[in-house]
Amino acid sequence: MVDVAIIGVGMTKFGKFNEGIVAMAINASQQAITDSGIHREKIEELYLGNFCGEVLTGQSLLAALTAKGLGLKNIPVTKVEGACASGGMALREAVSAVAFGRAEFALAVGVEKMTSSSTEKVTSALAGALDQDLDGNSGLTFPGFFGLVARRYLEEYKTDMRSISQVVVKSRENALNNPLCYFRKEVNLDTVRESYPVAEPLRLMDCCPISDGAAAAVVCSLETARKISKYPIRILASVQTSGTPRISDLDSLLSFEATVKAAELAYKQAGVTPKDIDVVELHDCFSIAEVVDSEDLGFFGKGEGAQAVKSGATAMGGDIPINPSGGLLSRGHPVGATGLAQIYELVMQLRGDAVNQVANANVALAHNLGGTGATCTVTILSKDV
Amino acid sequence: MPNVEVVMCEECRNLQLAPAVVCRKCGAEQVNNAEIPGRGKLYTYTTIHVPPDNWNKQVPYVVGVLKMMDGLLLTASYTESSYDKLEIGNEFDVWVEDGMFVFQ
Repeated sequence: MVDVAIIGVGMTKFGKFNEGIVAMAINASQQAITDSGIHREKIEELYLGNFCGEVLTGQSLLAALTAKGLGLKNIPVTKVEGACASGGMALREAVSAVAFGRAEFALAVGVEKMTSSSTEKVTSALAGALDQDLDGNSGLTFPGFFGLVARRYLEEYKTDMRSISQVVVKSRENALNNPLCYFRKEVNLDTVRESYPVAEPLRLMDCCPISDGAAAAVVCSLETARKISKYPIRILASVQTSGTPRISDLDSLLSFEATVKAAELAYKQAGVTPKDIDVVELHDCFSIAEVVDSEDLGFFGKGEGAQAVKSGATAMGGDIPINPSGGLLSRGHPVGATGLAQIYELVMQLRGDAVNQVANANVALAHNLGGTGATCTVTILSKDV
Repeated sequence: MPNVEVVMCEECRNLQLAPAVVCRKCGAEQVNNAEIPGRGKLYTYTTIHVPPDNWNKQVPYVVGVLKMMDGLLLTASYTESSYDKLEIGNEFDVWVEDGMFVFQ
């Protein structure tokens, strides 16, 4: 196995657009290839992360359509699906293709097109990540699942939704500067708590918005990257785990085993601890998700995540800035694209080009979570190559 | 009170909901069908206002997770119109109706 580096990233703005799903995937990929400085013909494998494109747009074969649209030759192209972790999984496949010597250069792209469908249809498509026979058939939705998590969190740790929704206020503060974000208006706690009750105790603003968008990255061996790239970013760890899509398999709703295991493996692979991480992009699909994820990743003890947000520890300038991009809550969550949008932000952070630049960012962590903690990727990146 | 059908691992004694052809916790191959009392304590719940497509029941509605015997978590739909008793820790009857678990 050889060490791998990211040499190019690209992404579309996230939001509500007329552009089609394939056009967005091509757009982000083109940007990543241009950013890498290589000729597109050098790409030897393509992995495309997408969750519900076929259900919502009727279009399948997204990887082949994207490759052809990019003018790639007859290379292997593969779509990967792991609900909300599809983008992170696409990156890991591209990394593996290079690490195991199958490809000199590989492209990972993630995409989703959601805003052309009704809210009910999107709600159904997302609920497809629940075990339909046991959990989905009770009318449980995805916001509903995290509503269950939130209510239990409040009970177990004797906190309130105002503490948890502080995540949204912080997210919007960061998004103010980020032109790639969908929602870029400051909000206060009262506005969040008074927004529409989607799945109580979660309100509309506790939920990431239904969005369109794409993001991409080009990878190659670290050795090649050192020779050809202006600003290579080293991949210290690229880990994928699985958990369960069925609630009855869980011991508790306050921690996701897939995250805990992925983090453990990634820290070991990278030879770092949570204290060595300078900046984090984690899977804040809902305000409560950021709180739970920040504990599962080892940044805070169990039950301390909400307090940490309140104290400002995860804001810009805090001990461990989380989601300086604005995260899923403000950037938007075009499901298959999110894992690679996180990578885009962290590569900018490590290059020193981020809109909300974390001072002295050397080591960064991305966490992408699918379903009820059914799939997970954790990627650790380093500026030092 | 009707019982709830479960699958029990002969190795680690873990309870899980069907279908399960091996133990979904420890991986042991020997699992047997069993029954547990259809009664559980409310572990958490959510009130859903935005339903999935083709949801032909009233909105809002409540989905709960109940802690059954030996800590088994079970997702069920709440069938009462009054929310008065809907409190974490309260005990409810659980049974299958129209192919899904309900609690009351």
